Amino acid sequence: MTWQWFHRLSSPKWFYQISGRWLPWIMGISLLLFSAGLYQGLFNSPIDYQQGHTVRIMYLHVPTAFASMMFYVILAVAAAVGYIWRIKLAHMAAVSAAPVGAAMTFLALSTGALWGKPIWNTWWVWDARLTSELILLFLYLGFIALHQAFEDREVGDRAAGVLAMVGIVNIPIIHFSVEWWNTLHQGATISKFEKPSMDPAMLVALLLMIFAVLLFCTAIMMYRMRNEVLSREHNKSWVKEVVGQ
Amino acid sequence: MTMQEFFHMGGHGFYIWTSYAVGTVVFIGLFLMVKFQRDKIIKQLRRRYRQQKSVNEQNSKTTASSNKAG
Repeated sequence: MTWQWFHRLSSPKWFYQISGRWLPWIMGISLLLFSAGLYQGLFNSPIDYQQGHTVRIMYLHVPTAFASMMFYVILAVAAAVGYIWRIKLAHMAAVSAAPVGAAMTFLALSTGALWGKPIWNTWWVWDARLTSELILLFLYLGFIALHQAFEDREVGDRAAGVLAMVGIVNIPIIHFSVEWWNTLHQGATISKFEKPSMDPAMLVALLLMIFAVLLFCTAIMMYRMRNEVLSREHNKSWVKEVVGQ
Repeated sequence: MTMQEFFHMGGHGFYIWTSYAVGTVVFIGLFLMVKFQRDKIIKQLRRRYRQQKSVNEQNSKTTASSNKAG
């Protein structure tokens, strides 16, 4: 009985129907947050007293970097749930999170390079934060490649799932790298436990952009999951109805 | 702030606008890719269902004719 909700939740059909209803809202709210965040970040926030205007790259860099780590955790947890309880929808979630996370990692790295050049006077350094984030990109790409290497999708789910679970050790390394090692990269600006050390107008821009990026990524992941559902459940009569003859 | 100042961004316009341009391309790309993927899957499934249907019809014809023969 307590498991009933769990089964309902893991039903691809239920997911397909409910996500179809939610997605326009998630996308709409995300676009509103993007426009507010971009306005606040590019027009309506002050420059940094040391970095000048380049601080505006932060409103793209921090949200994408945060999303790159969050979607890896989602990927690894989904892979573990799929592996342990053999839940198909969980594997579909893992496979759908990977391209989104990889794209966010790429953005975090490239906006970081574009921010590093004017401020550190270099595009790239092999320090702990940057290197561990680059490894995150390789973990995502490794997961995608490994999954595609198998003819049988369910074997691919499990093999790539193991890689995802092992790779989670990289997440705390990225997070604490700025504390454990000497690095050019600055420490966290927002923390749960302390008052943020930044101008309120900057904080508003940053928070708007973080929620915009996270919602957008969630929407893309859900769209991808819907595609996975259609493709994997193609023998079900409800899918035939949805697709049409 | 004039338009020119805004695009100039205190001399760092190149880095800032390239960042946001790359971001825009990636976000729009993610959305378009998922749309193309959906169209492709639906096309493939429709073809598959049509094939299944014609195979089934053929099978029922042959069973019907073999039943007559038998």
